[in-house]
Amino acid sequence: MSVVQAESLSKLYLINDARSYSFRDALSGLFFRRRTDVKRRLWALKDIGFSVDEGDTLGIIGRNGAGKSTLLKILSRITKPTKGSVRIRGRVGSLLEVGTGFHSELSGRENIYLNGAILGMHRSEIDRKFDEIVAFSEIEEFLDTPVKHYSSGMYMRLAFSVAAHLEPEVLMVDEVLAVGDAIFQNKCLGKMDEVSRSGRTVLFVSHNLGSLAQICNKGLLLHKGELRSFGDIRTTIDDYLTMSGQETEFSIGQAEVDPDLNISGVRVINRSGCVTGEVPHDEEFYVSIDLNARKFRRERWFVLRCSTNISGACLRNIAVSESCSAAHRATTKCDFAFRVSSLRRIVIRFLFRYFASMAISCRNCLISALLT
Amino acid sequence: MMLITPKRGWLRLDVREVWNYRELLYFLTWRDIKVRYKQTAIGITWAVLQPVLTTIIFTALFSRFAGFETPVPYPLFVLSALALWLFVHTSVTTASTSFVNYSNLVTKVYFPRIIVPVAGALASLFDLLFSLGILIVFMLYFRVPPTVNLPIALLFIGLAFILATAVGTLFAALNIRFRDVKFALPFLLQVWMIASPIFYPSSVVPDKWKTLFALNPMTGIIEGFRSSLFGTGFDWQTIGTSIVSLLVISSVSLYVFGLMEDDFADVI
Repeated sequence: MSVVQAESLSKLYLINDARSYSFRDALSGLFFRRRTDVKRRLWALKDIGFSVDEGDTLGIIGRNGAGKSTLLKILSRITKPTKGSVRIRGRVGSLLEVGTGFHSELSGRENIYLNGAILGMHRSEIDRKFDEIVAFSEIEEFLDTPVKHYSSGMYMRLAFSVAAHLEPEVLMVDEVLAVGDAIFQNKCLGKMDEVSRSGRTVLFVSHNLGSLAQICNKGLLLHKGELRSFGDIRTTIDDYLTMSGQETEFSIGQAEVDPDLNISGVRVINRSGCVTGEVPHDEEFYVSIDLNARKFRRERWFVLRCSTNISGACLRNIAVSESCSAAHRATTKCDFAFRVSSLRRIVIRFLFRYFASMAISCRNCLISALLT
Repeated sequence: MMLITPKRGWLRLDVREVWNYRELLYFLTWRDIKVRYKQTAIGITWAVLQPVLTTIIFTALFSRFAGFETPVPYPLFVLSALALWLFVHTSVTTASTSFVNYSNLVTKVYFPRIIVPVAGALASLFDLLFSLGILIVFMLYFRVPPTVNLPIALLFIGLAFILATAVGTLFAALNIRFRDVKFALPFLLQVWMIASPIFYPSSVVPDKWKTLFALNPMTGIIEGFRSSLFGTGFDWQTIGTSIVSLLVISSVSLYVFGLMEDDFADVI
């Protein structure tokens, strides 16, 4: 059963290039022809039609300015379409920003109620979920402190936990995951996964193709306001990568070196075991690193994290950790299995955790191998 | 089932939708009040000082030299009108900037937009409570006993609220589209105050101008409020004219608001 059905949806923006319009201009416009009336017409959306079924998770993809946010704004009734129509079955909750309407002078407790009401929750509903929200946000002891004294992390956690407890039939989320640290992002993703698994419908705009592939089952690709592709998420991501020429390319760049360690070689190896410069999107590959270490007195663990950098938003995509014992050896070689979906540039960071017997790491050193 | 279509035309205030969002209205009002009195330690003092000081100034200026004939002592006479006027003044000012202040809300969340200026007016009602408290003190001090007409005063407070909301909403909408409204508004409010029988009685207005004078809704509201407080006879003709004018102003305000409402998120 379709929950969201859009038909030939279009949105026209008239952009006035001249200075801002004043009441005086409007009055004089009645009598004189205005010279300043130069308006640019911009179709933010052109003839978009699609339908989303109950329990679907739709990922909306596109480059900046493709019309993704405009589409979500129309679907969440913030702005009206110029043409076309949308039918939505059920209560809509939209999360275009985390912490909308938070007021810095008010306390955490007060902001929970305020923000909840803004997101469309009823008071009784907030009362019921209050303890859960507070527990999720981990700010119990600062509940009655004005949020202006919060750290930005606390602020985000509080804001997100209010939003996370909104239980609409249709949830729309716009790139809110781009903020916050990796743990926070994972928490968000987990919550969204949970929402979609409970049979509700999720519409999700993101530049993070990795998390889109992880959460969504359907994809919608927009390009300059037009619908390019709509269907299975993997097909849509492929279309997007093809369209934007973002086939994954690798080349080995300069490696930053720790005085005790240096990287003598980094190779990308594909599934069939050949050294390669190119890996198809979403296919498993290995990174092989040759290390020269001056002294390895104790056992060292290597944890390799991979960050992706796509469309300007650097998001940690997949963290594969692998350990390697290198005691009493001057040279070592470690292989790390990878599977990274859709990237243009990878920054691979090695995080060396040096475990001195039972004590927790006494030194971390960071080496970047830049694969551009 | 919800249907989203292009502009739905003008003048269709969806009362049921507003009712559905009544809790948001409550929270926004509460937030306005809370923030206003939290930020400034003198918030409440200010709500008390403003009417008292203005009354003192008007009394010093007009009670001796102008020699207006008033049914009750002049300070009480002025204060009774100032209570309502300051309420209208504050709520129109607050409401007119409300969308600009709430722009992050308007561009990120859906709710019936009219809630924003209405919340501004509702929050100002809180100030009115203080003015009314002072008014009671003044009535005790000048030994002016209330009459059976006193409950009718509530009607005029209600009308003042409608007026404040209507004008506030109108300017809130205009303020989004035309950025010079904020410069014009203080001046308009000043003219409006002088055109209202605040520091002078309506009796100073010549008879041939009476109807024109009553077209200012504030005239009927203030006159009616005074009559119900002090037990003087109601001038129903003036009050009636003012109410008709108030209805016209409210309709115009709703119309203009309806015209602009759909574009708020795009224009702001």
